Amino acid sequence: MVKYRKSAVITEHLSEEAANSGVWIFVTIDMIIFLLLFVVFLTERSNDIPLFISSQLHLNVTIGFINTIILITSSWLVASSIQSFRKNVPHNGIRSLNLALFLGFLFLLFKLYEYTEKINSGASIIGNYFYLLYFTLTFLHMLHVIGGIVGLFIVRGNLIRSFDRKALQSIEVVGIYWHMVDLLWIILFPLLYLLR
Amino acid sequence: MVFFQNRVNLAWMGLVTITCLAWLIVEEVSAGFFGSCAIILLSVLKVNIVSSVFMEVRHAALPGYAIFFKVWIFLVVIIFGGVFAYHRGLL
Repeated sequence: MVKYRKSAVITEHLSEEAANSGVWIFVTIDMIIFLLLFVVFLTERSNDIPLFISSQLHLNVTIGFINTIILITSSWLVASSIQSFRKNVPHNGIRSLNLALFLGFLFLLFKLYEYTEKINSGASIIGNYFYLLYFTLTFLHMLHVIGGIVGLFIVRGNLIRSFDRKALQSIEVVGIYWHMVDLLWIILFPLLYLLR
Repeated sequence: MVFFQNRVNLAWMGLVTITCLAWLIVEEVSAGFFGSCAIILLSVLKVNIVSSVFMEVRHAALPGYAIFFKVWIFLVVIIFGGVFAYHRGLL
């Protein structure tokens, strides 16, 4: 039986510790790196637009769309979870966190299905810059998703063991990272799947 | 309804609606230059919602982070829009 301490400080917004956290530096650097990768993609696209558009048409837009909804919803659940912890309703917070984790796994499942589909259809990174960049960008992003799931899982464990101020700060910090993962996908989805 | 009074819930509904709108633009309206421009603008709007409501970037210790997000969004619009306008012969 999990017992929660009613010691968490109720805050309206980000705690001072999370606001000062080094995660902001990490997020800033990561977003700059991805912005540079977007530039690389657009530059390579400019060199061979017909190849990029014809390859793009073979992507499964439906899966990309579903994955976008999944990540947005997962991000929302993490934000809702943090709100619940701030209001000292840890049971709701854990429930939202569980659902967010489930959706994170679901994103990975869809991504792996998509990779399998692409590889089986003969898509190769050799000689096709679109697929090279598609696999590079989505794989890098997938590693971020895996990192986020691990982080959320660890934080969930800490919160179940002891719901205190420190645990609240840790979910806020991991939450900032998880929202960045969502934010990057919000740009990756149109860049890879939609823009013609 | 308490659900609709919570800005996090409203942000999620807005994000899902915008995503569906982008999908509709591609599938039903136009996937060309103007469709692509609309999708870029909708995407940066989503980035703005995520950073301001979910990430609470305005509460980060350094105000520079909030400025960084605005600059990042601005650069995405300039870079994406610039490349597409260039190929359209508008630049």
